[in-house]
Amino acid sequence: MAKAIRGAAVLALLLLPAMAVAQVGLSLPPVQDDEVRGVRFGQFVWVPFLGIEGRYNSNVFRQDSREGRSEAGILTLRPGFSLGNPNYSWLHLTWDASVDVNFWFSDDPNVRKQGRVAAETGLRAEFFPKSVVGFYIADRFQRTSTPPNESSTQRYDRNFNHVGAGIQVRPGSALDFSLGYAYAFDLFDRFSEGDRSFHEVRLLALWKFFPKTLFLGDVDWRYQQWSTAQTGFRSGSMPLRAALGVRGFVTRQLALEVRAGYGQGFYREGSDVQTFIGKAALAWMPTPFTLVDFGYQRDFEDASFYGRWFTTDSLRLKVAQQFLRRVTLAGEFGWSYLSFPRVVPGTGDVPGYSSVTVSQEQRRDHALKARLEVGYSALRYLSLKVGYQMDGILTGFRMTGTTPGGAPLVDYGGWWVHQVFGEVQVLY
Amino acid sequence: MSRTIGRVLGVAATVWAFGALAQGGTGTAGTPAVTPPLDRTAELAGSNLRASDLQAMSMEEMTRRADRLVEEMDRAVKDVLGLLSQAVAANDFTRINSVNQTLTMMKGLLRISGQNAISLREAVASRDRAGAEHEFVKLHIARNRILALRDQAQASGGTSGETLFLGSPLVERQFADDLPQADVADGLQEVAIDLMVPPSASPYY
Repeated sequence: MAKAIRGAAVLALLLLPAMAVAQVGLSLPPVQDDEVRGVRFGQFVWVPFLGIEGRYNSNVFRQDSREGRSEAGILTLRPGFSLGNPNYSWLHLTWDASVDVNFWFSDDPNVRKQGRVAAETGLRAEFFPKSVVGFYIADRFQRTSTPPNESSTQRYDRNFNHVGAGIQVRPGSALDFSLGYAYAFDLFDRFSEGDRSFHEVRLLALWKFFPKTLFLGDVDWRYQQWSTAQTGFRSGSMPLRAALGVRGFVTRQLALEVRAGYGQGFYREGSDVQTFIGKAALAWMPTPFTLVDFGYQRDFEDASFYGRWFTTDSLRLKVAQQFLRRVTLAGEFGWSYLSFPRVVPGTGDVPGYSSVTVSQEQRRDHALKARLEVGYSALRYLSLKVGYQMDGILTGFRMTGTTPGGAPLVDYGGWWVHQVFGEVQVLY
Repeated sequence: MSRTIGRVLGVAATVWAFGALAQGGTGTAGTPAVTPPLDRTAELAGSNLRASDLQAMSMEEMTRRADRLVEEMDRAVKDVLGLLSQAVAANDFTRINSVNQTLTMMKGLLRISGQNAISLREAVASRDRAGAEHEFVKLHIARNRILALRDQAQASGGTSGETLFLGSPLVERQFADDLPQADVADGLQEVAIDLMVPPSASPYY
């Protein structure tokens, strides 16, 4: 969850994390209707749903105001389900899936040609979760519908899948070691330069030295390859992150997580990133139905398409309140400072430009996000949600150049998007 | 030495176990029965008896059932004696000690129950229903305690051939109401997925 903030730098808008979960791992209780929803067979509960969402997007192609903006209305049909067995014995299963069918409405014909279908599913099965030795398998698949950075028929629709398995060893009730391997691929429909895959190994060690406080050690290593590497913009890497930390309750109402460690990118070419990584987050629940979460995080991320990597320093504040076990009001604000390495594009690096210069050789961006959401569980079979979200990149970075015909071109790095949305969800 | 200490502890535990019964007045020979308490709620709670069942029972029926209770207790003691014989044959000293301690408590309870059965018959003979009910309830409590001790003896010294676990274990976790219920490990195992799109002002549109 906290890691997801790193991705907010370039804001894959449909991938923003759920708001009720905080950085420290605390969440508001489920609404009262959740207890009776679903079809039960044995210990399993299956909850099918169908959502209809209407959304207004002020800037579909994430462009600066000087480049012009394309507004759109988006109608989304969202069938899906969740399956799980909260009272498990030898098998703990969680499986959720949903499909988005999007209908775009806009004056801009390029908007109407954007992707129709997105989907997401996540499965995790833990075998013998209460035994000394157990294992798990997990898979997460996402198909996104993502518009490009200018008004065109290009699409950044992609299929991402992350599948893995691991072994869990729990010698005693306080220790928990988990060693896992995963393989992931990321394939675009119409943008093969962006295709990549990686292998991942992760070791997570937990020691609950108090019932509500644990010490953690987390080591994550990836071996990443691009189908088409490009000097200065993307190259293969073997990012390593290792951190130690503490997470737990300080008082009955106050929880924190502090972790510190080291990260290195091990890039095959160009400058490498070697940096401190860490996190300090505080969650306060003055009542069982109130959550305030504030945190700072430093990490590095693969820049994927510009500069190969960047570091992030992020602040995040979330406030959530539940009323009458039916109404949930949540607000969130996040800010990230992105630091890219030095990049000077050369001739031919940028398609469409015969010559190009950048305003900052070491690009610096401020990524901002704000979100306000109200959810209302009206009935066992009906849930409503309305909200507002603002995302943006605040930066002085721009590319300027000329076309082969001599026409000037300017590409701005900053943009703002405002979205208003409402959803009606029918559940069983 | 350790066996002696174990026996002393066993006797002490026996005294503690049926102390409540003794305080209720089992009555020694020649002493009148103590007047039973008017409110038997607490007494019945430990005997698995319902007040309505007790009231519906005739005094003769009470006598017959009391005899069966004593026989049941006697069988339980014999079962444990059998366990002791097996432990001795196997030279399992840990188990011998453990079974011996339990057996000491059971024998004490059985001896007192015999006295209770006699007191019950005396009360029936004198048509003292309140006294009879009082003795009958005490017999029930002693029977329940002896059966529990027999189970304890079967499980003593670790899991063995006599120990049988059926069904799922029942785990009771007690929390103060104001303690947080959240598991602090929640979410740590989740996969963090960062799918980024090519940014503005880059070689990609």
